[in-house]
Amino acid sequence: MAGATSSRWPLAVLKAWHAVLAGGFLVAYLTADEDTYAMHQFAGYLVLVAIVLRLAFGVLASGESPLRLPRPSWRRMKEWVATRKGRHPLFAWFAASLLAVVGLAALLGALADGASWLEDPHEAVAEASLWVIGAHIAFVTYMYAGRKWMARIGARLSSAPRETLR
Amino acid sequence: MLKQMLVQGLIAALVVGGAAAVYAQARENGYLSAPAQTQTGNPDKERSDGDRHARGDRDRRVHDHGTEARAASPGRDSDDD
Repeated sequence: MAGATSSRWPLAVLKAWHAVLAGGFLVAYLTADEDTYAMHQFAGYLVLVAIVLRLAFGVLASGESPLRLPRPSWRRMKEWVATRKGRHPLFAWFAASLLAVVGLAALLGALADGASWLEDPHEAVAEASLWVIGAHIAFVTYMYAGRKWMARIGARLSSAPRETLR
Repeated sequence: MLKQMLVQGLIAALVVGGAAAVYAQARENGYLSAPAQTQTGNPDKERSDGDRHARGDRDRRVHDHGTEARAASPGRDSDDD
């Protein structure tokens, strides 16, 4: 029991952190306007702090902890493609990419407070990060729900009477 | 799990948005001091109310002094909004 409890809290912390990061990014993106600049600044700094804390916890976390930093690997990708066993390697690739691109956007935004010439790069990286976030959402949706939906659709199509398929 | 994470993210967005709104309101009312850069009069930073519009104007960002740019442009009304 103690073992199960002690292994649950890192995952709970990770999920809470993910919620704060996603919510903070959403607020920062929606308030990226001169009229709501203070809100944008608040949310942006929150995202930056969340990324820094994640990196700090990730470095300090033990070997098998969920809080350990993602370590994408080409070798593991090739092994997975050959065997189709184990956790999908794209999880690690997406996690690392998102930490990098969202972290860079937040960092550039913070630096732009002192150097206005960084505003354009900040905006460009933030817009680019949307694509990575969209791909991440599409991937996890497929991995956790899409395959079930496709299996159900396939089952319905295969069980439907032939006349209805013409 | 997907639904749970989606709901958690939306709740977090609401909480963060609410906190951000409180922060913005407090700053507007003067309860919180402005960032240090604006108090030192950094020409790269224009955070005062009168210069807020200049921040969104890409052309004006090229110039170091938004007020000078406005003065140099004849017929420009900074209170259009």
